[in-house]
Amino acid sequence: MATPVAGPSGARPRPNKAPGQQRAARNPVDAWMDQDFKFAGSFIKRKTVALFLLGVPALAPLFFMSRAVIELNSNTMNQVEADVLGTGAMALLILTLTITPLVTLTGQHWFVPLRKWYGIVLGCTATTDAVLASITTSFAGGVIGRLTGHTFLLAGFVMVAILFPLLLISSNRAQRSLGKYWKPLQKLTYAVWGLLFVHLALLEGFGFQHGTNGPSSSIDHNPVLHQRLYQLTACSLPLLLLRLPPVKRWAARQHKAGHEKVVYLVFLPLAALYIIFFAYIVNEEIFKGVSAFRLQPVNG
Amino acid sequence: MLSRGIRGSAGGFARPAAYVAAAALVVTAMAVAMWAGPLAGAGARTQSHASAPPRARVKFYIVPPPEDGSAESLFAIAATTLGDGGQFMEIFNLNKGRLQPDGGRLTSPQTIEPGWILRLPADAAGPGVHIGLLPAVARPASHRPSRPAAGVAASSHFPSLSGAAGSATVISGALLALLAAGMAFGLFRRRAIFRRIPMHVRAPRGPAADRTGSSAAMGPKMPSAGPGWERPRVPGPVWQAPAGRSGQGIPQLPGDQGTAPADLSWAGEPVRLANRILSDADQQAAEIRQQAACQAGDMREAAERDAAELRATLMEMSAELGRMAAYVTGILQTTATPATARAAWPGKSPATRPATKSATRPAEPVTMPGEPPTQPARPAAKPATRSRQFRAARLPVLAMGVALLFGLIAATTEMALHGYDFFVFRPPGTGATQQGPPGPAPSRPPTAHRHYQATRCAQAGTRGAHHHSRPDTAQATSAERR
Repeated sequence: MATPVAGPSGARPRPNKAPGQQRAARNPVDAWMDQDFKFAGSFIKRKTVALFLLGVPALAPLFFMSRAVIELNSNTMNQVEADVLGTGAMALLILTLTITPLVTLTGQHWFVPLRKWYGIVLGCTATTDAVLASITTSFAGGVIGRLTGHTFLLAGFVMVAILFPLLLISSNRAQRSLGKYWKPLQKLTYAVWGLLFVHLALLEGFGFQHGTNGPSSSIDHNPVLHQRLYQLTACSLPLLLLRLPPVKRWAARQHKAGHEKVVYLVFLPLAALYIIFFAYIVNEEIFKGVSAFRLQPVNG
Repeated sequence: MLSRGIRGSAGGFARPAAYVAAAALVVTAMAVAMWAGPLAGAGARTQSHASAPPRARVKFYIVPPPEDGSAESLFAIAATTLGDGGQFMEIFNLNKGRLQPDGGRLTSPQTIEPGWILRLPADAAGPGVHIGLLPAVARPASHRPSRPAAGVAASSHFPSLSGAAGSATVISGALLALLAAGMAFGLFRRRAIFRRIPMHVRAPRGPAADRTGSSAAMGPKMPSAGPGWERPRVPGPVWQAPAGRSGQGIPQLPGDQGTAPADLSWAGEPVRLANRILSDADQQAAEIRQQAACQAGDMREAAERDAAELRATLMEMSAELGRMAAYVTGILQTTATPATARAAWPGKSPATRPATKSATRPAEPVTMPGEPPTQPARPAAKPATRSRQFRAARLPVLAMGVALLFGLIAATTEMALHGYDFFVFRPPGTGATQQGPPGPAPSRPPTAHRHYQATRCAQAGTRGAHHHSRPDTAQATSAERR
């Protein structure tokens, strides 16, 4: 069992880092995360453990489809590849976009490295989705037709065309090479965010024809919660609101004044909306992903 | 204490201690034997052969050398001292068999030798009668009868030597042995204490001890206590003995100037010794700190001086460059002016001006102290770092553009091939994912277009449906809508 080791100052000193490079803990939670666990004689920061535990689930979509890809099970890839990897990529995009509002909401920074990790896995998942869809689905027109033979396919292709270069320049070396151009390029993720609305609107429309969970016979009378477009809209509302500069300034003022609870109470309804819809996304991902991993795909 | 020291050292100095103790005992025994042994042995032998106790005051007579050719006899001695020559047997009985100074013994009343010491009866009186302790007679090295003169001389010159004097000599030898043992004990304790002190705390023993590297100076178990051994050098500032520190074996500690050297022995009071060592270490640390501070100050001053010189040089160079830039600018602005009418080089002589440099170089911003700030000339091109980052940023943007262009071209091609309705409002079921058993995907002819052509009219009202939807689901949705 890990034993937390806390020094008098909380954080273990890092002698190899210059004072300017070491970011001071801005929050008690950040300071708590900077403390060390002792695992079998080695010291591991709580933040490292927490980031690992929060980052591993991002690999779930690729893991769910790994067995079908390794065994070349075309039935599984044909039926649920787009759902598993597409839904997973959407969830990862939402998670990537959640980090910055979460910093605004909580004032903590220890989970900021997750944004880069989620973005990397998002790029990998979206690229894999495009590649598998281009070689496994039965759309007319060959590879080109499977990638761009429809409007929603074209939107998805454009998203991948943006995400793949961003994936290639996500390394620290590329960040150093690009300098000040790195961040504006990475902000093209917002374009992907908008294209996802287009993609889902063209894919599923504005009706409730996908208001099921699993097979179409098991309708649970919650069509709105199952529609991906509405899921994305509900999750994007708080993310968009917390990105508005006046809201960010107000939240920062409240945090500075020590009124964190006020911020939490104000954003509690939006957070509940986000959590409910995101739970449905995760539910569908797990439902179809497990079926894909069992090579018994459930299409719906 | 000594045994504890020996045990405590875990054999570290037990063997040398034994050596020193044995050597002290041997030396003491030899000294006692050489000095007091003969007298004590003679006294003991006299005691064994004489009936009278040697410590009693008696009357005795020393046989004189023969005068006028006539030797002494017991009869004559008895007649002289006792008043009756016939009592010579009393003298014979008192001295029968007793060792004489020449090694001989009185065995016959007719034979006595000059120098013999003869005990007399208590009633003896007259010339030649001595009263006192009977002189102790030493055993001669050999029983050669050719040493009577020496024995007589000794007896005549030291007539007061007796058994009591021999005992005093023995006591003196014993005291000497005790003194040697005490010195050895003190040496052990001093070395034991010296060993408990860490090496870096020990005060140096002076140049002589370091040069010789003798084991006596550094202890008998030093790792390389032999000729050529040198004290291991500790990294750090070189220790220098203070002015008041002598080169003796015992360090002169602060506050000990007035005390006698005997009080500085390390054989006593370890706590006091430790305190002195600590105070000495503190003093040394303070001296080292002071030296370091002085050195740091000197280095800082030197660095500041160098920096000031460098700054002045740079300022001078900058000023020179500014003048040169102004000169070049003037030349460029007055290209029509004849060469002979150009302005002279401002400032320094032209010999110091670079020949080819800065012909096209823009003027560097020069801000001389005390001068008004000048407007720096803007460089014509952007810095190289920006260009490098810009070139690096162009790659992903170019990749995105190529991909988008490819997508647009492909989409346009699809739309041109299959029509706008097929591209945007594909009816459900058209091109849907094929349903089938697990396993490799069966080869399917590209009949989607034909399928679309066949079902276009029949399902014209189901626009906007998802291609992933199964045909039965899509049909059910269409039925619901209808």
